[in-house]
Amino acid sequence: MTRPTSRFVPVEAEIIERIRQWRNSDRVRSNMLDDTLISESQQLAWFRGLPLASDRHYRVFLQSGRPVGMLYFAEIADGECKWGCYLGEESVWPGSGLLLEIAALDYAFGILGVRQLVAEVFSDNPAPMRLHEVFGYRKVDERECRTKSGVQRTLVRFEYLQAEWLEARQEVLGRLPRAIQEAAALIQFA
Amino acid sequence: MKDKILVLMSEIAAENGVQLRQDITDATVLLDSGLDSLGFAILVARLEEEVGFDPFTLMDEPVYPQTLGELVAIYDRFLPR
Repeated sequence: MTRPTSRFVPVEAEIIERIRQWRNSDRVRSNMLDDTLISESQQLAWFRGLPLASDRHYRVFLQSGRPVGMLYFAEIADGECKWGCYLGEESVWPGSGLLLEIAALDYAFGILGVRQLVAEVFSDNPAPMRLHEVFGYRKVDERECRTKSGVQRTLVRFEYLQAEWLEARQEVLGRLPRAIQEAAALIQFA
Repeated sequence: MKDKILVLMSEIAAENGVQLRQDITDATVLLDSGLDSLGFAILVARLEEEVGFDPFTLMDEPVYPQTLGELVAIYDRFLPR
């Protein structure tokens, strides 16, 4: 065994209950704008709507074949989209969050072909904020918002241009530990 | 091994300006420890420099740690005897 493979595959019916459990966990839900619990019927409706939704892409993160999290893109329009991700499983290869960051940029600019990628993070969630800064996102805005359950929080907006990533990718990956660089070479999209 | 890991976690957290949880035990879930993904990648790299191996490259089947105790056990398992 060397480095884990990372495959990002479309959502299949067999996994939607596991995704719902991930999504409903306190660790994941507390960092979502929609922080309410998702019911089985809501999850089924979401899944059934996926083929019709051209403005959203959801991919399951398979780490060496095992589902461990989600990578998703929303509001895909006019050369721009927002993205988000989470690790649903807690037992993951150390550094998996970095692989999600790399996959998000490669998928958005290489597969979706958008010109700008937007990430929004709550200001009290330091881990993704720091990773976005490490990768070279520009912090452009902070605004107050309310989550779906009514909690007031501050949302920080980050942006990244396609041209910036194409120019910076090699340099950014070069600053990361060697294991991450090797694992990044094993990222695949389906 | 556990002490070495905890010392390195503290050093990496300090270098990167992140706050480790104060009450880390064997049962602490690594994703909740305060160290982020980059921190853990650096931890594995630093441990490889210090102990001479990366256990995650030596496994026949991938087994990844959920807690600090599991991380320590993985390193202990691959320590040269």
